[in-house]
Amino acid sequence: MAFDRHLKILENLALSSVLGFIALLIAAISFVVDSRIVAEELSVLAPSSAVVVVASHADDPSFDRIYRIQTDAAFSYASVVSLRSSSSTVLVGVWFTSTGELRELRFLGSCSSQLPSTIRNLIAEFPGAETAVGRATDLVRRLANGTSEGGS
Amino acid sequence: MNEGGSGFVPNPILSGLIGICPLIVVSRSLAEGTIYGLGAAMCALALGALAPLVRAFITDRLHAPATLAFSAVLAIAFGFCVRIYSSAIATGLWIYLPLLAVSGLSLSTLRHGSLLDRSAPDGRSRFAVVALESLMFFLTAAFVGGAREIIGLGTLTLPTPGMEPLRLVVVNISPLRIFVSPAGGFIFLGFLVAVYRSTIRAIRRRQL
Repeated sequence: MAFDRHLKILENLALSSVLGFIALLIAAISFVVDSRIVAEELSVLAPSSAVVVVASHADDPSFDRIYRIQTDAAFSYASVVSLRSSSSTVLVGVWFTSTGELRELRFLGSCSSQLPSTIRNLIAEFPGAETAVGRATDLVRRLANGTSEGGS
Repeated sequence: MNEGGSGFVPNPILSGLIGICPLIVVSRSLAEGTIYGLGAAMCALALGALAPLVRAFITDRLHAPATLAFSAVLAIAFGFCVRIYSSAIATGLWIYLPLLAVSGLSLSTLRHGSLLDRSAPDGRSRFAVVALESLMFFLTAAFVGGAREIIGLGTLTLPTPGMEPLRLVVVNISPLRIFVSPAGGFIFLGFLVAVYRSTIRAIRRRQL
């Protein structure tokens, strides 16, 4: 009886160890995948000559990162935001000024929506778009304020 | 529920229901339908191949949790591949990529793997049954996605890599946009089932 119990504990431990090892492996692979995704996003958001750092990792369902893009004269912020409705999803590039004001929105891609003729159409089609972009704007404003406070 | 002495054996009706709902929500375009169907099929095939090995090395008590964990690993790995291949498609499939771990096809494979008998009642091997189910699921997902996109948006998005998949404009209008919404997906599925049943009925009549 005691032997059976010990055997079961050993089995459980063996399975837990294997699953733990697999979890570590997945975590390691996710770093590689993330670096590929960052490279892809930066190729769209920033010119190749710019110096880019990840300003913030966002805990938001619509966007993952805010980038700080330093060009020769000034710096700005940018992010890739995904906008979802019940019938389609689109990727939008969002650019902000150094003070955190929304500067530009650009349609990047989608696989379940027609190309919107204008950003105004895009926002009209996705009722949550302004909310998602608004959340990104809020975060960038906080970053911009933090930067200016830190700098002063 | 417990057909083979394992802890958890999914009911086929439960598997079907769980399989249909994400398929309908997610297959809004040819690209999404194809990639989702491919993911479900590949996860099921890998699970089907691994299930007998798992049974050989792991006790019955731990068979179901181990297979489910492996299914989750496969779904996550496939999700990584899709994110690298095309971020637009990965964004469209969203939460349904990790949910491939418990897709109807995976649960059906889990059910086959949990049974002690390696052959199905009709004599075919269980892996052959899984392979056929996977192929049919993949074809159905691609067809449903493509048909809904053409009817709903008048376009056909190919599962090409990159942020903006290649899009073919079939007609320059959106005839019935409701078909790309989940509600339209279920309407489309209803039509599909009606066509399937009437075809089967016609074939049976001819045989009589």
